[in-house]
Amino acid sequence: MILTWLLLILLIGGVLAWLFAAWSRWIATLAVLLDLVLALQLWLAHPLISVANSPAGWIAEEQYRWIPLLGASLHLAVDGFSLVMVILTLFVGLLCVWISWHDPSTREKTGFFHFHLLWLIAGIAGVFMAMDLLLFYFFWELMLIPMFFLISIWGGETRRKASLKFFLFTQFSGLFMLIAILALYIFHGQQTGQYSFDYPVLLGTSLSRPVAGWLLAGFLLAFLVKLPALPFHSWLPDAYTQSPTGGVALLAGLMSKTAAYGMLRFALPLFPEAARMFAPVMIVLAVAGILYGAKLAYAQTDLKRLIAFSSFSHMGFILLGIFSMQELAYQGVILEMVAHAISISGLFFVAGMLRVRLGHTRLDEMGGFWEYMPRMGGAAMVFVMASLGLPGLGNFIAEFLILAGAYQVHVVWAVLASLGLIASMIYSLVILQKVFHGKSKQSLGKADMKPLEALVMACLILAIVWIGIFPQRIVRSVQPVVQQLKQVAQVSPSDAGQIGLGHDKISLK
Amino acid sequence: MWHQHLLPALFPQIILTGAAVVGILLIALKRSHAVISLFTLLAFILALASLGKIYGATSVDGLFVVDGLGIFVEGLILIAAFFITIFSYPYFSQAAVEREEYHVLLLLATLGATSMVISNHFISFFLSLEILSVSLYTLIAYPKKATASVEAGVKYLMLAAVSSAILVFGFGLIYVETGQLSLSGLNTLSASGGEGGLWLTVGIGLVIAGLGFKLALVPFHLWTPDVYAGAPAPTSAFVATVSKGSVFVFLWRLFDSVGILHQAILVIFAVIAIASMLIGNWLALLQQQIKRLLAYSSIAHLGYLIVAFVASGETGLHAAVFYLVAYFISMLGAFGIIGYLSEPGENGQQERLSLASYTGLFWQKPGLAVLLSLIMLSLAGIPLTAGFMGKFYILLSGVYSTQWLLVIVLILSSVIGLFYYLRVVIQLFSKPQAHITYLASPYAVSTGLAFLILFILLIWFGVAPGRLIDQIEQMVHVLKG
Repeated sequence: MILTWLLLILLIGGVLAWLFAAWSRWIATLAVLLDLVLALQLWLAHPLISVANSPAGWIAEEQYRWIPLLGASLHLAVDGFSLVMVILTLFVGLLCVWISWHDPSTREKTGFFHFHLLWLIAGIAGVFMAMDLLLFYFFWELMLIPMFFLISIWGGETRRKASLKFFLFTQFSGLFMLIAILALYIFHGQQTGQYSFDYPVLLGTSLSRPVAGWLLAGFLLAFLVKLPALPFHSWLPDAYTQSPTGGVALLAGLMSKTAAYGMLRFALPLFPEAARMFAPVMIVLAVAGILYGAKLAYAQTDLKRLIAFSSFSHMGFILLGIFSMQELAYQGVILEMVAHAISISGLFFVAGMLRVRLGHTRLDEMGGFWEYMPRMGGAAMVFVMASLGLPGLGNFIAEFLILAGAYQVHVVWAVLASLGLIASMIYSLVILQKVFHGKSKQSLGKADMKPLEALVMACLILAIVWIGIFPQRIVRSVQPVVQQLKQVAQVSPSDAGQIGLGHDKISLK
Repeated sequence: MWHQHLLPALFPQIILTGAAVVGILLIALKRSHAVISLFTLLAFILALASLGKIYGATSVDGLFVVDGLGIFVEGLILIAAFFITIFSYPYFSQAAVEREEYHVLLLLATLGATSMVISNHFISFFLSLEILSVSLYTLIAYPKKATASVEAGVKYLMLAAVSSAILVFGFGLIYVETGQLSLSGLNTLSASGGEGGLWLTVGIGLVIAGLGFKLALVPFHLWTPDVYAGAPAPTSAFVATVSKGSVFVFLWRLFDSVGILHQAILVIFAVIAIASMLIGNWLALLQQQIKRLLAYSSIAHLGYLIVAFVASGETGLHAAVFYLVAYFISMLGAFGIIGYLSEPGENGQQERLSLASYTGLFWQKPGLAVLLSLIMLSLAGIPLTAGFMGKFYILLSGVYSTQWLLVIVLILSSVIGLFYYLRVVIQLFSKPQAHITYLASPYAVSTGLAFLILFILLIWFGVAPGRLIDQIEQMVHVLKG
């Protein structure tokens, strides 16, 4: 029941927050905090099991009837990987509630704002827990709606355009995934007579090469748009810059990770052979994205846009890691998913706090703010350093592992990608230089962080340092998934049907 | 012939006919809007209850066939008519015109629609169609001082009459070739592998055109926006839901029987579906008036239904019926809200037509705005709403029958659709520049309750559709013969 409760607490909390608008901040805090405690408890209770006792390798699993006639069920399950992502979602979600506490743009319709925030968190958490493909798609689309409202009601000046563009891009690409899911469902049903959307059931489907290629293309289209990867990123700058602060951290930090999660959990294990076929193209896209994103980030004159493009550039590393198909790279990808979520949230929070104080985020009108807000400057420095890959912080170890993994198979591309690290150093330092250093152009008086904002930043800093120093804790809990993916990458074409057994092989170790 | 045991199968029709007669007598006795409204609601409930008395599928003299599909859609139509009556009462209560006859006409139109879905013969179909259409002419032009309504009524009269003529001519040609007027007869003929001659082809083409007019499929869609915009909101709801749903069921029955020329028919319908989806959504994109927008969007939705029709088979039928349910809920809610927000004017109710007049509805009437947004999301096929499950089911049937082209076009056009539905949603939630006031309706309780039920159904069928799908699977099937 624990997984259902994780979702229900958020959903009910959202409705309560809407009904009792005056208390919505407290209700939201309480709901997310309770969820976080529950999820952490679950994680700590399963510290070192490489694969849990249950046969499928889940730490917790629940299955309820949904649409029995079509073979769809409410199948929620978590393994180490899912659980880490759920905890991350709740952690960042909690901080989003807190950082929006003093945000004047959320003063209006506060209850409705927290309703959407909580439902968004629930949608993202649902994506990480759904093990039924229809349910996965359901949550995948579900998280769009609150995000759409967050942008279109509480967003910046051009929020209408931004929210429309965001919704259209993601929905359109998502529909192709739905078609791929349906086709997979029907092919599997025709082969075995068992019509089901259940992920473990569908894992063993053997498909002809062209069919698998088309289906994977459907899945990848959805994931590449959401990530976003190179040619599909045009919604990103608008949506990221126009979102309210609480929304953008979830958008950049976690919704982009759902795409990476989808590739690792569904796209690769379901279509291993096709994935190997697509890998070269994806790697080129990834490296091009890293470099192009870095160049775009450097060229921006707006702080939020700069951070948005830096995020786009970092997504290239994730894509590179996934399609390098190396054990090291997979570990790096998962670490990067966590570390990037935290560092990008930190940067967007800084931008949001500046926006509250200045009313804009234009870089050319900033400068010398260290004088007025030394504590915020210090916090910003930590995240800038994390973003440029300073050893000791989470992002460094993650990107290092990805590049090390990629180097084993694609030397040239790995070398090119590491140029991105240098580029990221340049644009990241620009943030610090233009905002906090130099001569101050305006007097802000006492504008440093309020206690709650300081608490949020402290939590994030602690998290990113902890990942940088003890990455082992996360790596260990995702190890079963990494092993499974490794087998996917190595399996010979004739064994393609056997991947479903991957879990059992690991459990023998 | 008098078959007493067949009587229960036709109870709904008998009740509705009786109710129409008694209704006229009631009006003759004393004009009371409240009484006749309540009476109409009662009649619909009785007719609905009588559906439960039907055991098993029966064929009535070859004219009607009361099977699962028929009973299910009859129920759907009666429920929709029930909601429309609830919406009509406040809408007409402030009007200066004689408003009591509106309800009698509503009863008659519903009679036509319910008998159409069980028609198994060209004659019974044509009679039902005429009962429905003739009532609709008046229902559309009911606010007789409003020029737009009268114009819409006349337009509908002209086009419906022409399309009826085309239909009859088509039936005639089919009769010339086959000597059959009943669908079961056509079915036996096609089962025996009869080769279709020229006149049969022409006849079927004419029938497709005639039914296309009624369903407002591209290229026979030109009347829709004017009629939707001109008719009073409850009537628009009736035209959008009941009238189209019932014709669609007959379309299904007809082409389920006519197996002859099957491939050619499918191609024609595939083309019609593609054109309806793309052109309907594309034109809706350009609209600034909410009723015209809904009109074009309903053209697109009929296009989606035709995808399920082309997919055919059990899955297609179930998908289409599920989609009808979702579509009915959404359209009823949308027109209900438009009617509810109308204000009394000189020539009957003044409706808010332009999208701009709905700006910032959320800040004054949050409940209505949330419901209307959910309806828009449902029409767009976004999760949490019945529309999503409907679209999912149609896509499933399309993929199942490997209609890849139709499936891809459905996706493309639904993204176009999403754009204008979201525009409405954004409009509802954006801050109005000038202050717009929404009058409180004095009849908020009954309408509010109806909205609440629609809201619950919309979410329920979107989140947990298992029960409904089970029900459709068990119940909906076509009886040939």
